[in-house]
Amino acid sequence: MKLSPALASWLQVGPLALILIVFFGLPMLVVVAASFFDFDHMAIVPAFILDNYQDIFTDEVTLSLYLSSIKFAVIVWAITLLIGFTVAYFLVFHVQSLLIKIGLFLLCSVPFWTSNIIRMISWIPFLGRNGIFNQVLVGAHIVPHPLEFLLFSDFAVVVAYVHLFTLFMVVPIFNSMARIDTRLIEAAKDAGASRYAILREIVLPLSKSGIALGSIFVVTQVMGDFFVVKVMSGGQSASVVSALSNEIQQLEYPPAAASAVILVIVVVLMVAGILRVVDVRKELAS
Amino acid sequence: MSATIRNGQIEVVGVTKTYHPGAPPAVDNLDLRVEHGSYCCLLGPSGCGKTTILRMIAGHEAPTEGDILIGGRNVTNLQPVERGTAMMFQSYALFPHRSVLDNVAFALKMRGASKTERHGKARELLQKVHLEAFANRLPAQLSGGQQQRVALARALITNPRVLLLDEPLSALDEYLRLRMRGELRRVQRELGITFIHVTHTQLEAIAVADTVVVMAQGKIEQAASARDIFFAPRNAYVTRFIGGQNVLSGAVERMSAGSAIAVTGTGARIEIPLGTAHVAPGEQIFGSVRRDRIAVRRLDPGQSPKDQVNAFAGEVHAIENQGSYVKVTIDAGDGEEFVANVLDEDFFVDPIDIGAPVLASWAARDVRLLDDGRTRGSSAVAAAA
Amino acid sequence: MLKTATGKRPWTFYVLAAFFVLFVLFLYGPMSVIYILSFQGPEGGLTFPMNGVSTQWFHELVENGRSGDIAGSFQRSILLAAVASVLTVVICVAAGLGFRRRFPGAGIVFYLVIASLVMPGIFVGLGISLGFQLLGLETDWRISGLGAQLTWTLPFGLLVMFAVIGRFNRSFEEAARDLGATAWQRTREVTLPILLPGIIGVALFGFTLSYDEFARTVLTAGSENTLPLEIWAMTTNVTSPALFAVGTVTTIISFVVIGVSLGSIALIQRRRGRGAGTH
Repeated sequence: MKLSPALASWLQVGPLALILIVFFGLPMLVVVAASFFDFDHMAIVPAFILDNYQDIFTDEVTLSLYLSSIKFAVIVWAITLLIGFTVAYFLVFHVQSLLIKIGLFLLCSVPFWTSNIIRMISWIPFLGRNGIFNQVLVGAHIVPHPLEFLLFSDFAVVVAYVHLFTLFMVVPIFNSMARIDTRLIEAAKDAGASRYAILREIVLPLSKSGIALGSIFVVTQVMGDFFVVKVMSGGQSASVVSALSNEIQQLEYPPAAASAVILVIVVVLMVAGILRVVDVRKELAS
Repeated sequence: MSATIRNGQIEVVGVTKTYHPGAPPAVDNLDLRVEHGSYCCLLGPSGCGKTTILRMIAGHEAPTEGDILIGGRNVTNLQPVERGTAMMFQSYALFPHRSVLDNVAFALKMRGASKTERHGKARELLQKVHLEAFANRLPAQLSGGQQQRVALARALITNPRVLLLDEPLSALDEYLRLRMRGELRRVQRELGITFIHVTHTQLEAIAVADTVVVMAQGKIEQAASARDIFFAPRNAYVTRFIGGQNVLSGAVERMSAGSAIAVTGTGARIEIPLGTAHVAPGEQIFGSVRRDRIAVRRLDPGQSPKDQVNAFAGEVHAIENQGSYVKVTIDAGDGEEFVANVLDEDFFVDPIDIGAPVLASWAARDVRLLDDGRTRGSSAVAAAA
Repeated sequence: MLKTATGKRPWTFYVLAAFFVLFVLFLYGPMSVIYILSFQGPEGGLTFPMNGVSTQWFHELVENGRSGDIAGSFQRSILLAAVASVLTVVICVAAGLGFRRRFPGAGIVFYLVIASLVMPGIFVGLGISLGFQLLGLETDWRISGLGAQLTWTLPFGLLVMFAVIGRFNRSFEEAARDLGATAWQRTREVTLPILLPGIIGVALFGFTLSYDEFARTVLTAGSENTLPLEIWAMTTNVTSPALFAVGTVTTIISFVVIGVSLGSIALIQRRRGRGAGTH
């Protein structure tokens, strides 16, 4: 039985496509549809009204929520970029042995494969008023009394985000850098370039697609988060999605759906913005 | 020995291969015949179509047009395994997860042979290539040359009537390459089957093959015995590619006893024996002259060779010691590379330096007419030596 | 490669190395606090100082009741992760091989995969649970929960397959074909074994991503929790170091799974020679 190439590929890709359509594509359509529904206290009523969207656009809280989310996204992006780039640079260019390189890389990656929630709440005993960090600071007489802002604050939120998502930056940048032909570096050294010049002229441009990919990951993760911001800010800060999750808890599905649709549009615009700067397609086709 | 080997004659009839409609064909209406039991080399630069032809004979690519016959039977629509051919890949493609023994026995496993049977035969073959001690190793533990011999054994276990080798020696370093050439030749003679060997190295083709097929841009430029390719190239392309001769060209000035006297672009005069060909005055004709039949002498200032035939003056452009002879490249001023292979003892009597003015001269009998500008010959049909 | 000719490291090496060490401490530090605190004494609280050392909180996990349904949710998580892992391997290996050819619709499927990867999990969960509601079905961790988790594991698995297949030399398959192997024999004898390290990687991703998955599962698990959901409930209800004990146990499980997978991959690569499967 000789299958045509197209048919063979369809059979092989079929299960993947099927599951994604059933559990992702269709649910997304349901969300979009639901954003136009009406609801009363008990149930949602299929309809086509624009009230949900209207409410969102006229509510002044919406803007502040978006500003809050975007603020976190930008801060976390900047910090993870800095850390991720530095770590990747160190591993690729300063570590000689391939074995150690891979070993250290795994060392950084392994925490990523443990529970997000556990890692997040592990900051609580660390940063709390009686936590380790404060105890060390006070014990070493660096500060007179424990720092309150460390926990249940915007600071804690950013710290937790950075802790959870830096790896998303390290991996693509590491990949991009590792692919740089070492002979380019040697040629530059031959021509008398300083290490800083090599970084600026060769490493940075050639890592662009890795940086873009990492940025997309980090930004979408932060914009889409609902529990880190809630827990780590002690309820003081909110993000778009955390407000959305409140609506879900109260079974107010249509407004939540509308909120979701708008957020997705905003995030898509942000990602498109990143992609306009750098083309990541060849990175993904690795 | 020939009685038990099936007929390994190969015929490629009018084969064309286009990958994208509208793009130039990789192989262009090509005809080729390789006699049973001969060693044929497909020679040419990258992109000339030699590997494509090989893969079409193997059955890993299908021709867009045309037929392929093996042993007189049309195999164009048959699977590789049904053709009685076996292929040796450029990267050897030894299965990294299987031992050397399992690699060699693979084809028999695919046919359902029992373990004892196929391991027995595999060991026999490994003995032939002197690798029986490595039977249980993994390919990664072998050197390049050893891997190549395993690849050879693996291909031969099915008793193919044709062995197809895709640049078998390019992955080896120079020393091994020279040694393995002889090995391949010896094995082919022993087995008596047809070998088709693809390479881009001129001297390699000439060293091993009965028939050399020089290709360019999907067409065959010349298919002949190794000796003929080297000493009787058909056109300027083959001449330049093989590198045993120089290309001369000029406009016909006059005839002289069966030869044409032509004037080159720099005013030198060359004499090209015509044989049965006819040329008209003013026509641009091409000839080749053997590089090892050129005399090179230092030119005294004031000497002008303009009236000499089969000689010209030029400046030495490069000097390259080749061991038993010295390769002297002379710049005649017309852009064509002109090389003289001067015997070692002749050169070092009075060594010339780069930049020195010299006179290069040769005898007319060492010049041959080339086909360029004339009507092309019939399709290339190769005959075993 | 940035060493000077004398082989000495530039000063930036030490700075960057120190930065790296700080980064690793940053990653592991807080988690270590949890591991230590899970051995908190019986009278101890949620922070330091340690009030004696005991394994009491671990015992409390096993004894049902006070700390929620740890044992049950743990079983469900492991089962779900195992199933998700197997499904991810089968589906992604097949899809990865299918994507080697160009076929109509390849672009659409690819964008679908990427979209599923970057979409916030809670939206996927919202869509699935709403969909189930509209159909009159109840969400259940075995169906909707599994499906939701697959939308997260399948894209990762596929990307791993792309990376592995990209480096796979097709001449292995051609050689097998030349030696008489049928398509099925080729796949079984040559393609899959050579891709095995990558396949183990996909299984690893499938397991750990499902085991730790939270955002997508929170709305689709139905009435019975998976472990991350149970932990989430504990963060609001339970105020004892039992929470930390859970964290320690679940992290150990993750480490074991990761260790076994990476160990197998390393073993295979070593036997076959580094770079085997590539050329």
